[in-house]
Amino acid sequence: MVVDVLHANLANLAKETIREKLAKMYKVNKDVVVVFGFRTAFGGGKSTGFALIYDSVDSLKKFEPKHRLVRLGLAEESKSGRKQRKERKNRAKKVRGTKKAAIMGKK
Amino acid sequence: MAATSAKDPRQEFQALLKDLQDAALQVKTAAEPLKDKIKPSAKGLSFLEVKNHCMMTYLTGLCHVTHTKLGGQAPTASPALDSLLDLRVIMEKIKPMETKLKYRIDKLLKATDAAPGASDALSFKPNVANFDDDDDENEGADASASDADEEETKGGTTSRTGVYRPPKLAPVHYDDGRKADRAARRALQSAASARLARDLEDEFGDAPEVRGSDVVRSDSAAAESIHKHFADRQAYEEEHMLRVNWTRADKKKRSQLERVGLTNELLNLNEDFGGAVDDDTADFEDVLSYVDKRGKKKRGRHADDEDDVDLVSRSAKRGPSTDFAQRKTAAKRSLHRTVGRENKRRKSAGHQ
Repeated sequence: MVVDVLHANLANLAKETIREKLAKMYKVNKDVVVVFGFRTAFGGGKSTGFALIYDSVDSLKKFEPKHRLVRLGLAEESKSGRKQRKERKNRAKKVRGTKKAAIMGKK
Repeated sequence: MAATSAKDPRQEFQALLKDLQDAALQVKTAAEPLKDKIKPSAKGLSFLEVKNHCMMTYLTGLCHVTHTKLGGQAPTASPALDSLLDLRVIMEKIKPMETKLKYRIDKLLKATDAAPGASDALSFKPNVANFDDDDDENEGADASASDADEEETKGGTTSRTGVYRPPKLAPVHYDDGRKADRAARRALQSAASARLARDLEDEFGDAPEVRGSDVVRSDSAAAESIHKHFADRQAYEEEHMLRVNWTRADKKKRSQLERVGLTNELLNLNEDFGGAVDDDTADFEDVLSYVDKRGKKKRGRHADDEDDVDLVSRSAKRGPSTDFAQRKTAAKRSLHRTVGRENKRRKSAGHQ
C-alpha cells in the first residue's frame, strides 16, 4: 500500500514509528509490517512511502528482498565484498553440479 | 704529318672566315631593301617597335663584345656590357607582356589582312562571348579565333583536343523551403499553445474541462506538461511500489517550474508578498525584507493548494499508457537487450 504520513513541524518520522502505527491500525504484529521508500514532500510536513503487511513472518522471509530483510534484522548481509562474491561466482561457473557447493560454501 | 695536321685547322679557320664574309655580304644585300620598308609609323603598336629596337641594339652590342673578345681582351672590358644587361632585362620583361597582347596583335593582323575599309574602331572591342564559355551565346559577330578551337555545348565546352571542360559556376546556396516550412510550423505550434489561445480555447472550445486533484491547471502549457510529467512519475512509483531516481532532466524541470514565465503570479501572490496577502496582520517590514531577499527562488505550491481539498486521493490507476511508464519500460527493455547482447558476446568470446 501507499502510505501518506502527515507530520507538521517535524522532520520525517522513523520507519520504526511508522511500523508501530500501522501495526496498531491494522491490528497485526509489528513483525509482519515492512515499510520502505519514504520521501518527504517538498516543503515538509508530509511524507509518502510504501508499506507491506504479510500474513506471517515466514512468508515475509520468503518474499522480501535481501536488503529489506537485512534492514529488519532477519538476515545478515555477507561480509565478503562485491568483488569477492563475483569472483566466487565466476569460479563456480567453471564447475558443474555438486562441486559448486564446495566452492560456494566457503563464504 | 705534323705539318698537315697543323695546317688543317688553319685551313679550316680560313674556310670558316670566308664563309663568314660571304654570309655577312648576303645579310647586307638582303637587309638593304628592308631598310626602306620598315619605317617608324604612328599607326603601329609602339610595343612591337620597342621590342625591335631592343633586339637591334642588343645585337649590335653583342657584336661589339665579340669584337673585343677577338681582339684578345676579356669580354667584360667592353663598355657595351652595361647596356647589354639593361636590354636583356627589358626583353625578359617584354616576353610575358607579349603573350598577354598576343590576342590583340593577332586581331590587328587579321584586320589589316581583311580589308582596310571594314576596319573601324568598334571591331577591336573585346569579345564578350569569350568570357563565359558555358553559355551558347552567338553574339560577337567578330568571333575570335577561340571559337574555331572549341565547340560550345550547353553547360560545358569541348576543346579542340576533345577534352571536356566543365562550366565555371560559382556555387550558390540551395534553399528547398524545408527550413521555412519547419519554422512556420513551429511558430504556429507556439502560438497555439500560448496563453491567449488556450484561454480562448477554454472559454469557447468544445472539449470538456479537465479537473482532478493531481491535475494542475496553469496558464502556460509548458508548466502543465511539467506537472503532468511529475504526476506520471508519481503514478508509476506508486503502482510499482518503487522509487525512481531523479535524473538531470527531472531536476532541470523542477527548476524550470520556478521560472517567471511558468508561474502564475496571481495565484502565487501570497508567495511574492511574504504571506502578507493571506495574513492581514503581517508587518510591512516583513514584506520589505522579503522583497529584499528576492534573490532566492521560491517554488510554486501548485499541487499543495489542491491537497487541502483531497488529502489522500489518487487518480485512477493509469497503466503503461502514461508517457513516463512507457519510457521506463522501453528503457528497461533496451537495457536488458544490451546486457543480453554483451553477455552473449562475452560468452562466445570466452569459449573461443
